Parts: sequence; C-alpha cells; structure tokens
Amino acid sequence: MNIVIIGAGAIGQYLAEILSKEEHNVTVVDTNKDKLAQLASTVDVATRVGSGSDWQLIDELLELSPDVLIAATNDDDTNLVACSLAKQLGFPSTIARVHDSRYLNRTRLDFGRVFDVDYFICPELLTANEIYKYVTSRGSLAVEIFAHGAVKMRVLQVPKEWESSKTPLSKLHLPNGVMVGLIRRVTKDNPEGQVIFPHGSDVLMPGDEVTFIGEREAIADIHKFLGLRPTVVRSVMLAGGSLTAFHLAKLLEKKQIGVRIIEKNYNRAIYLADVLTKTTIVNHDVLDVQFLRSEKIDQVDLFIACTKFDEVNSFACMLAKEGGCEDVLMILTNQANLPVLQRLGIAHAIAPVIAASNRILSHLFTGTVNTLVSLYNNRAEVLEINVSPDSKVVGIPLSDLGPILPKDFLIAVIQNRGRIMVAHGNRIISPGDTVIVITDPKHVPELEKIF
Amino acid sequence: MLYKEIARILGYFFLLFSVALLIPLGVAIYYQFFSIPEDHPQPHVVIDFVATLAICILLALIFLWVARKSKGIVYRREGIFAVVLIWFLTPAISAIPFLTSGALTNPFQAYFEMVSGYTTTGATILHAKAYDESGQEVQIKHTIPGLIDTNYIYYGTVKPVRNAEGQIEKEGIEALGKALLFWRSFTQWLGGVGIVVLFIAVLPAFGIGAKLLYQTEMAGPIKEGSAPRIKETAIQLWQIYLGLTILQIALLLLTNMELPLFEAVAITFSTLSTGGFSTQNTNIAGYHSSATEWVVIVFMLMGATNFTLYTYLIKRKFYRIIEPEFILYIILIALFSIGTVYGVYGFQGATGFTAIRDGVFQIVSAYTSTGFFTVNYDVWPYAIQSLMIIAMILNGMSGSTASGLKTIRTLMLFRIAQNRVESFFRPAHLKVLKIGAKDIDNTTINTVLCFFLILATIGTLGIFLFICDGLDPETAVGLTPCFITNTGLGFRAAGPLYSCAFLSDFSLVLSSLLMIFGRLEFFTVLAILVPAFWRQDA
Repeated sequence: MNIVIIGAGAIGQYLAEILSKEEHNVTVVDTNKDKLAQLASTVDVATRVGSGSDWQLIDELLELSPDVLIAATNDDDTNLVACSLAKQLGFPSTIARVHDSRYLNRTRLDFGRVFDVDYFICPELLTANEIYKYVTSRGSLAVEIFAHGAVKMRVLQVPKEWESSKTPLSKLHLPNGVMVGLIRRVTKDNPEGQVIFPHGSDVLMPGDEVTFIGEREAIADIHKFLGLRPTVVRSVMLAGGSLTAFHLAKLLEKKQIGVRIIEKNYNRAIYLADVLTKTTIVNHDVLDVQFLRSEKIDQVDLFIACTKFDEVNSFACMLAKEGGCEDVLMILTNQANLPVLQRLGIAHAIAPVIAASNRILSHLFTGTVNTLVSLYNNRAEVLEINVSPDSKVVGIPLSDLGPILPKDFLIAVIQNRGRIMVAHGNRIISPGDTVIVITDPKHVPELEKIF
Repeated sequence: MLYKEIARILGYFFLLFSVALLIPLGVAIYYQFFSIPEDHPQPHVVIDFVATLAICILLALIFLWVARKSKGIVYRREGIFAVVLIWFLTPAISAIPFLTSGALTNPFQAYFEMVSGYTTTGATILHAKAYDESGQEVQIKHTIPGLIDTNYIYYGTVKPVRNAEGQIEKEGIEALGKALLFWRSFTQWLGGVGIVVLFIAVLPAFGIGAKLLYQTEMAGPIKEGSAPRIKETAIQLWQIYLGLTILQIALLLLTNMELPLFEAVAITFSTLSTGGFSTQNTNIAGYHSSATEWVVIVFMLMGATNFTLYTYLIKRKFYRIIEPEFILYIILIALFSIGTVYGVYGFQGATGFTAIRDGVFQIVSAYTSTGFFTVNYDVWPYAIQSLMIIAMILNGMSGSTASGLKTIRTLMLFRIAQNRVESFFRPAHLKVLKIGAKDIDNTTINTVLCFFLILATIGTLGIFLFICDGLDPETAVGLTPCFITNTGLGFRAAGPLYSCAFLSDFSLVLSSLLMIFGRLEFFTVLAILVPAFWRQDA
C-alpha cells in the first residue's frame, strides 16, 4: 500500500514505523526538516518537507499513486484542509486526526462529507474512553468498547441467588439498548465451559459468564439487572487539565463520579471550570506531595495522571502512591519506558499514540469482516462487518434472516451513519452500515460471502 | 560495535555473492566442456571457480554461525563498517581464481586487478611477459624522459598461450581464459551500481539497516531514493541497469555483425558501469569498428547519467529531466568534446570523422570515468591531456555509476564560491543557495566543501607517495586522479601502450586504497580510521 502521512509527530512517526516495517511505501510530510531527517535516519520512509495544506505538494504526491492520506499533524485545521485537498485532487481515501471531538458527531453536519474525510480519529477521546473503560470495568470480567466508545461490551458473572434463572431471554425484559451476546456455562460434566450463542429460548443460569453488548449508557448499569453490587469508584483525581482529562471528566461526570482536576495553569483551570460544571478544578501544581495530602489523596479511589509529559505523569503517580492512593494510572507517550514504570510500581499506563495508531491501522486494513475481540480462547469472536450494497441481508428484517445466517451467530449492534442501534428483530440493515456481530470464528469466510 | 550484526550482514552478503559466482563458473564450464577447443586455447579455470565458490560459501557460513544470536539491529556505525568490510573483502575473494589458476602470481596484483574491477576503475596490471630469442623471460624496460630520466624495469604478468610448435598464439590480456576475462568485466558490472545495492535489492528486508547500507554506498551528495522504500529503490535501480545492459548488448550486436556475443557482453559490462576493462590488448580499438565505438560513447554517457532520470522517463515525466545537474552535464560534455576535437584535429594525420570520433571517445571516456581508449592519447598535445585529467576529476552525474567530484558537486561548489564572492562586497545580502528547486543548507555546504578538501588532500598525498616510490612526476600526477576518480586512464609509464604492471607492492596497495576511497567517497572509509569510531568508553 502507498501511504502518505502528514505530520511527523508522535502518531505520524509511530504509524510510519509500523507501516514501513510491514513493507508499505510510506511518505511522510512535515514542515520541520530536522524532524524528518531524524525520522528518515531510523525508519525506511521517504520524506518531503512541506505543509499538509500545500495543494501543490499534495498534487505532486499523487505521483506515488497513494492509497490513503493520513493527516496526523497537531493542528485540526491543517488536517482537515489536507484531507479535503487530497480527496479533491484524487486520493482514494483520507483519514484525519482531530483534537476537537465534535467533528465526530453528526448532529447537524456530516463533517466527513464537508471535509472529505473518510475517517476521523480523536486520540484524546480514544484515550479518555480507554481510561473510562478501566474506571468502570472494576467488577467486570472483561470490558471492550467499539465504535469510538458508543458501543460497549461487558462480561459479568450471574450471581448464585439470581431469581430469574428460569425465564427465557425473550421474556427477560433486559434494559433498552442491551442484548446478551454470549453465555459461557461451566457445568460439572463440562469443566471447560460451554459457549452458547443465545437465542430467545435460552436462559441465564447462576454462575454463567454473560457477555452483554449494547449502548454505553445502558451497559454501564447492567450489573444492577443481575443484582450485582458494583465496585464503585466514587472519586477520581486527574492530574493535569489536558484535553484527555477534559473528555474523561465529561464521561465521569455523567456517571456521577466525583472528579477533581489539578491544573497548574491558571487560564486553563479557569477554562475548565467554565466548561466542566460538576468537576472540582484545583489550580495547583500536582507535583507537591504536601498538597496531595491536604487534598486527602488517600481517600481517592483512583488517581489518573493525564498531562502531556511522561515524566510529569510518572512522577505524579509516584507522589500519589506516596500519599496513599492505591490505584494509579497514567498516560504514556513513549511506550519504550513502560517496563521501567512498572518497576516503579505504576502498573497501568495508557498510550494514546498506540490507541490512535491501532485504530487507524485497523481502519486501513479493513476487509468486509474485521475482528475486534476474540473471546474464550478464540471460541467466539466479536466482528465488525461492513455491509456491501449487494449483500443478501440488505432490506430484510433481522427476525426473517434466520435461514440465511449460521446458527452460532448473532447480530448485536447496527451502526447506521453514526447512529447506534441495538439489533432487535424488526431492524433492517442498509447498505454501507457497519454491524457488530458475535460468532464462532469458523463462520468468518462464510460471512464474507453473505455480507 | 555489534560484531554479530556485522557478521550477519556479511554472512548474507557472501551467500548471495556465491550465487553471483555461479555465472562465471557457468562461463568457465561452457568454454571447458562445450565449446570447440580451437576457440579457446587459453588455460581452463572451472576448478578455480569451484574452489572460489566453496571458499565463499564457507566464509558465509562462518559469518552466519557467528551471527546466529544476532538481533537484526543495525546502527550507523555497524552499517558503515559492514559496507567497508564488504568492499575490502569482496575483491580479495574475487582474486582467488586468478591466483589458483596461475594466471597471476603476485597476490597484490590480483587484488589490485579486482579492486580496479569493483570500483569500476579499469586500470589493469595485465601485461604480456617479454621473452628473448632463447625463450628466456626478460624484464620489460622503458624510460620516461625528464630532467632526470626515470627507468621502469619490471616483469610482465601474463604468460602467453603457445601453440604446439611453441609459437606465441595469444599474449597479454587475450592470453587469459575467457571465463577470467568475463569475470573481470562482470566485477565491473556488479560494482557499477554497487554490490551492496544489489544485495539490498535481492535479500529480504533489512529494515532501516538497508537504508543505512544504501546511503553508505550510493554516490553523490543527495541520497534520496526514487521510491519511498529503499528496497524498492534498489530494485528499480537494478531493473534500469539490467534494461540498459540488454539494450547495449543488442545494439552492439546489431551495429557490428562480426562482434561475438561474448565480446558484446564484456564491452557492455564495462561500459554501463563506466568501468573500462577490455578483453582486447588494444582495448576498444581492437574491434576496428566505428559503429561499436559510437555505441560505447552513447552508453558511457548513459551510465554516467543519474539513474533517477530514467525513472522519470519511465513514468513519462519528461519535464523532470530538465534539471540543473543534467543541463550542466550536457553542456560540460559538449564543451570538453569540442575542445578535445579542436585540439586533436589534424594531429598525426587524423582528420574528418576519425578525429571527431577519437576525440569525443577519449574525452567521454575520461569524463564518465570509464577508461576505455582507442588511440594513444599519451602523445596528444599537453593541453588535451590536461583537459582529460580535469574531466576525470569533474566526472559524471550523482546517482550514476560514475565517480569523482560529480557534476552536482561542481555546481554546488560554483554556487558556494559565487555566493562568497558576492557577499564580499555586500556582506548583509541574505541569499539562499539553491540548485533547481532544492535549498542547499549549511550542512550540505560544509559536506561538499569538506569533500573537495579531502579529494584535494588525498590526491596530493597520493601523488607524493607515488613519487616517493620512484614514479616520475608526470606518471604520478596522471595516475592518482585515475585511481581516486575510478577512471583508469593512465599517462606516461601507465599510458595506453603499457599497464600498471610496473607498480611496486607498496604502490599496488596504495592504488587499491585510493580506488576504494574514491568509490566510497572518502567519508565512509575515513570514518573507520577515526579513533572515536572504535571507542566503547566515550
């Protein structure tokens, strides 16, 4: 594949490295000559000095017959302009990295169309979602999020004293926007566990591991349905008022979790206080153990360091530990330092660069069928399927699809132009939709034909 | 220094190199077992190539065994050292068949010959042995006159081929086995684009290591490839090279019906690589064909043209070819040719097309660093001989098979000097140095100036050392640029009538060093000589 990357920042460099190792032809464009020279001396890529918003440069790059342009500079405007120019000049596909997560919404405008961007990626939002997943998953066996955090999968164990164990699923009155994707049942004669792809007549037995999948909000409270007491996170302290912290605080606010943001910069703190009404903003340097003690750090359930600087983050985490906070988490840009951090006692570090790059990579190499998660030693897989216009399933209500589809197969969520719908029987799949399904991996080739 | 990583590169390299050895082995087998014996009275060399192959494979296996725990990381230092090692070791291995077959007896001479091959210099030590009437070998003697006459007394290097009656049937270069002659030309062809570049194109991904190796070997100040990935760049380079090779062989055969395929291939190998080895004692003149000479002129020029331009041609981006370096290259070639033809017109009775052909051929041969000759230019007017030496130093384009200063550096040096002179009377004048659309930054300026300085220094030092070793000044002044720029056109004692056979062992080593220095453009080899390169502690 011929790939053009605009911007040799952390994400651009990481992508360039991975892609060139996989023998793709990568050309990196940046305005900073030294940065490019540095990159070219360690990674086998071609480089061009110039701006992503320079149409002549982009036009010249067409000569490489590129397959995709990835605009990954630090500046939203440049990225959008680059994508727009590229698409108009004839690039087949564009990906834009944006800071402003509002481009991902399509409430009033389809920004993908406006700016000719095929795929938006917001690393800060992705990171916030990853952290959010960690915060809210305490008590779950596994958690995964799909579709930029809009869809969530959660695995819970059914408690022993659960009373509805005789009711079939079709009559169970699950909360709206949630469905049971998979059941793993361990019995005496089957200690390995039996993986069930549930249908209306199946029941949930005490001790079962149940995979719920659905809209994020509905899934968040699903443990109540099973009568499980949540391992609550009541208070979270965020070090640094970065964009990630902002997104995370917003998510946590919605969950009624107490959030404190410690931000050194006065102006930034004022801004955050303005937009995050429920969050406590403290204008202070976080690298001050006395201050952390005075903020009762030992009462905080979770301390998350989310400044832009690895060294500040790691030091803040160590101070928080010193202050008595057991659970610390940090954002890490340079993945190579992870082993050192773990030796220092910081077990959890989330890398925005990797999160964003993986998302871009999985988008680049999307076939019709794309594996998202594999469960129970690959006995079940969560797949994302892009529905082609000439697919057999288009236009037929899901309840009538039974004969076409394999038995160990379940459509969980339909994404229609950014809207998320849990797949109930009367839903219809349209061409261009993306569906999230759960199935046995052996059906994957079959599915490529059906969709 | 990660020796295991270096061993890994060398191991893979020599494994590949043994594959390349199969080609001359095939030629040797053909002439020994399949051709008519009358066609090939020279000694046969199959067994010698088999031995070389065995040694090469053994060496590769030893290197790979040493490297069995290597991790596949290559840093700049390792890359540089590996390339230098490859350039010093490959000629040594390639010299084996000359020694084992008895064609040459002095290992220094054999090594010199192969270095001259890989660096595409084309200077040879092959010289017919001289005999008196009784059949006793005698020394060759000739004197270069001067204020102090310099006498050269040495033995020839190649035994003649005698027929059953003991008469000399073939002598000099022609007395060597066909497979050895093929091998000489083939080494030039391999060295033309670069043996390491070939290695990168063929072997599986070395990642960034490949890029380091490529940049270390590739000639010219601008090391950008024509494709985003270096492996693809290398493959493209070799495809073009191979394409041009086939084209030239076809043209040679078409324009000269009497030319055997073997000769056409040998000429082509030495032309495109701007090498200069010939299978004839009288070099290209030995074919007595003006058509052949013109084809060779065209392909010498093509070999010294930046290969990236051919990729533009293939992509049909014709306007891209019009770049400053190419224009200057064409202009300089034209000026030098006109000057030479003007200087030799009517000289020794050569007029008309003959004078034009001889003049153009000789100056193009010098300018492209090839080193072919058709006439005894050693007796030409001094002005023209000097012009040839200047042409040798200026040389062809970057990114080609030529060596020396290169047109792009000439242009840069001119612009730098111009800029300096201008700022002499208007110091505040801010000016960005540009070649075409490319900015020339201070690092590049420094590198180019430094390159020129090193070229001048090593050149001067080379001349001095040759004179110390007993050469006359005129020969030494001609010989040093001939080695440094990998051209191979010697003057006086090393002139077209003679060879480099007179060089002492010291001079042979010095010459070999100069040739490799020049081929790798000094910095690479000099880096290894810097003590800091080897220090582990600081």
